[in-house]
Amino acid sequence: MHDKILGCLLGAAVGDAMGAATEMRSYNQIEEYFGGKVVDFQKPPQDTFARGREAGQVTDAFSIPYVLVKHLIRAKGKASKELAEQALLDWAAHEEWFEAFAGMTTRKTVYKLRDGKDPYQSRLFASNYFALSSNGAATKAFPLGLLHSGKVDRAIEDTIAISQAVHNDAYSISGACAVAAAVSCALGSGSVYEVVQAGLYGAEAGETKGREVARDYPGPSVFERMKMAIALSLKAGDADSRGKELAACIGNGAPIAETVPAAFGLFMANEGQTMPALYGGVNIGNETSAIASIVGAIAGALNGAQSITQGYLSIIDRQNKMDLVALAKELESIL
Amino acid sequence: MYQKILGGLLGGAVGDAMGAPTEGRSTKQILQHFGHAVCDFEKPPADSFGAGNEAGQLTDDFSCAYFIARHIVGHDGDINGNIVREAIIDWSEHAVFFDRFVGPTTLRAIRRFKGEKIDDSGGLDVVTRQATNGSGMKISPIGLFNPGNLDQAIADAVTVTLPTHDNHLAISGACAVAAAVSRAMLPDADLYNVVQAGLYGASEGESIGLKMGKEVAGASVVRRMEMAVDIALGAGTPWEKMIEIGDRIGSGLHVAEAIPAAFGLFVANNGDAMGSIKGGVNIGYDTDTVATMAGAIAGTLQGAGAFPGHYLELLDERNQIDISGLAAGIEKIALRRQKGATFHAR
Repeated sequence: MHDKILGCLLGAAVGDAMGAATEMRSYNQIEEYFGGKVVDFQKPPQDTFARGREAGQVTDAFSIPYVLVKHLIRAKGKASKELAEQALLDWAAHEEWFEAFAGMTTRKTVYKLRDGKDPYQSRLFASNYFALSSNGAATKAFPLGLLHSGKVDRAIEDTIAISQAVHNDAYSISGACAVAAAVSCALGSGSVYEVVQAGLYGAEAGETKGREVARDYPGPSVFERMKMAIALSLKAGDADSRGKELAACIGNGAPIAETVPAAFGLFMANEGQTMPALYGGVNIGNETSAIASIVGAIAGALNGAQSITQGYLSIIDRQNKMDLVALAKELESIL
Repeated sequence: MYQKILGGLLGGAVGDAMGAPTEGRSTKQILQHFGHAVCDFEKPPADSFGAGNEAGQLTDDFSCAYFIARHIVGHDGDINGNIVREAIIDWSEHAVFFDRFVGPTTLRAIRRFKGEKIDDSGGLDVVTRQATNGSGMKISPIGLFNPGNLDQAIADAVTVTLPTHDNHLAISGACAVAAAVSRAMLPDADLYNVVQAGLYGASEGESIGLKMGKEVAGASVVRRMEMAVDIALGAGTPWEKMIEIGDRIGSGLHVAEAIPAAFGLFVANNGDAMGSIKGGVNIGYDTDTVATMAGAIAGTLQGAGAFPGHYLELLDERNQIDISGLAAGIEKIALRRQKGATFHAR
């Protein structure tokens, strides 16, 4: 169990840190800039969100769930909306993360939690298109899968509570539940096929329950796009060409209905293998750190920490002043 | 030809004005709020971008297309970057059409035209967020100026798009709409050859955009168009296909959602102008933009006769514009361009 929990944490961290360097570029632009596919930690270029940071440093994609895991451990695994809010405020106190990476949805929530005022309040029904259902709910969903090994419905229930703190809409909840359900299944005795099925189950349940408890936004459905991404990943061609197809047809952007389906497509196209799937996310282009972090968490939970390149654990720990082994042990102790 | 030009303009105007009240809502929320599918001009609700507008008033979509077309007519058919910038600045000073409605990418470009310093995300140019549908919303008249001459329509669409949306995906989307309208202008136009022209435009636009604009990461307009047309050709009613297009392709701000959705609705409604517009109006999300593009393509194919007789006068009066006057101006130039052009009808 320890190896699988560590694998999930490390997979998410490695995917985020490696993807930080390729973010915003297209598949071709990544090849051009780096002289080929990126399969190791690189210093983020000046024209990306992570500019000024070092190779191996994580962004918001992993740092938010990292703080969330600490709060969950302290609460002995009792997930709630309030816990998620406290964890977010704690995260936002880290200037290096908050200033560089807080997106519109997260920033709005932090300001509101800090002084009760919403600086972006609008009379509009749906105020900002790009703030709608972005992938932030999904990148921090894997810890809820870790809390409930093999108990997919419990993972979904807790994910809904956590998501409501920031991403209180049906599609965000759907994408988050897909990831948590897949991790829960991968941590148990799931096969690649079963993990994908659990993800689909989570997406559908999350969308349905999300409509009952949260806001309903217009937008493409995470569940529908996941089915499309998985179908695409089963067609002819090698994993690289599948990745390009996923980017072109499903999309690789910040909307949750692109990020999460792309991650599941890459997981399937790479037969669930951790490093190939993670490289797929790093090189798919656009929201690479989020996509690689999600697929890294799912595949890492399935295959364990030993499936991740040797030496990466110490790079992540050193570059981010973290201790993922201790974190995994503490998490295991409350299960 | 005049009837087709008038139909194209009317389709763009009707789609924009009819979609204004439903923008930002999902299909379910549209049905909840209005109590029915929106199939006529209604007053935009207080929580929409269009709040304060009367039924039949335009937003940014067709008003921007109108200004660009008028400036081109005013310059006797010249289409170049300066005229486009002049038209867009002129439009931006029209508070009713501009202030509440201007989209993020267009606003950024106008501030640049006017010499203002752009400082968002601490100077980071987030180009992936500029692949937006504002390129397609204003482009349909470019097809009207170039009947059947797809390559000229595409070249002109690139010229019109570059000043505001200089990335290959936005250019691909604009060229798709311009090429489809261009093909729809010919007497032998039908659903099949108009869609093929749209796909040709999207794919040519993509390669020209890669050379003349920035490459930008994101979903492909061409592939999503193929997927939308696939859905539209399947079994089911136009309403069912509209739901499926919204769920799977999307109908939002990204150029690879709104433009493919417009083509999907055009096919799902067998090229019928009012059907395509109603699809755009009720699909949810960026309804007025989807409806204005679907309406312009289908309106050109079917001609002005496809619209209820009182719409022209209503739109002219509510918006203080002269759609038939513009149509006459476009026709003069289109006939002249057609005479001098080498044909690439597909």
